[in-house]
Amino acid sequence: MNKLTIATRLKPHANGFNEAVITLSGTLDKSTARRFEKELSGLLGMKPHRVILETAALNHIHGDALEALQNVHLAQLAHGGEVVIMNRHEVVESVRLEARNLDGVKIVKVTGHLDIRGVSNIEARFLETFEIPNPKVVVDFSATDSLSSLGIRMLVQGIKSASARGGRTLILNPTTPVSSALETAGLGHFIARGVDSEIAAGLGGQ
Amino acid sequence: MKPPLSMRIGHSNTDVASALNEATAWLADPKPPAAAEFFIRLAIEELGTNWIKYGAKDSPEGFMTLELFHGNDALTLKTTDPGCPFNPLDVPPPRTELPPEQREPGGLGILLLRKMADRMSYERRDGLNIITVEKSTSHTQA
Repeated sequence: MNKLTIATRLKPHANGFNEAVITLSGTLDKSTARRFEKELSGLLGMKPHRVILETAALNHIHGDALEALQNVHLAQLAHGGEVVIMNRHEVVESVRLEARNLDGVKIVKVTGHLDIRGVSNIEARFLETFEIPNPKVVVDFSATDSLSSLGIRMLVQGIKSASARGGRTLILNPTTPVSSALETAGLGHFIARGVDSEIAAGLGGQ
Repeated sequence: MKPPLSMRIGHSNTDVASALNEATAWLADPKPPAAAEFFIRLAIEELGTNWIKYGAKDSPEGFMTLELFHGNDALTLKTTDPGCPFNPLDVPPPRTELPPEQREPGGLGILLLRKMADRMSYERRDGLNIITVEKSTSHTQA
């Protein structure tokens, strides 16, 4: 019989920052994933800023359960939080890319760590966004926590690709440290601040 | 005071990713200002990948050691590696004033560290490169 043990603890920090640590042990499969999601749904009301899933003690993760983990991640982010999934110090998912169209402008949102842990996971999809005629792309960095030179190189490649096709790129609402890194890299003039729909309208109209 | 975190990076990018994950967990409690947390992750990646790309080639059995500690209102990362002498403070900066279309890759990681660190030092001692970077955790400076 498959068993899953879930231990949850809340860790309040200074400045009102709350972190929830969930330790999983046993087997996470389709049958136990539902209970896991239910446990998480109880946590959502507390709106933790960060959720750490410690999965090192799991002896098996069934393929179906990975989808459940993804659902949990999305649900948490909808509350403005962050999920870090730890498995013997290996992060299963450290970055996420969401792309949508808005009046002919592509909005690409990068959530999480755009560094050596995440770039290879999203690079192909990210660059595809720029590979259309006359691309207009808004790269939303408002939820990007890390940005290394590897991530900047990916971004520059996208900007070059757009430029070569007669398009334009803007970087939307980066956090303060990400903004500092972009300024240092000489990309400050690509930064735009405001509501995505207004920025997209401005870009689309030019 | 919180105990320091010691890590090792061998010859694989996976080692850098693991070090980043360990540091991310270590930095979660207590959580420093965003700028300091961002900088430490940046420093681990840039110095770690630099070691793998260049230093590790001269030292097939060697590894980089990293020590991360919090004290005196600052986060400090000290790396030690047995590679050939490499002073990051001597690396010429890339030409970031050029438009992206005209840029050559290389040197950006070190430039980011030099510009974003509150202090950065290098010394060569006993055949080892020792690089120390520091970032304030004072909220007024973050």
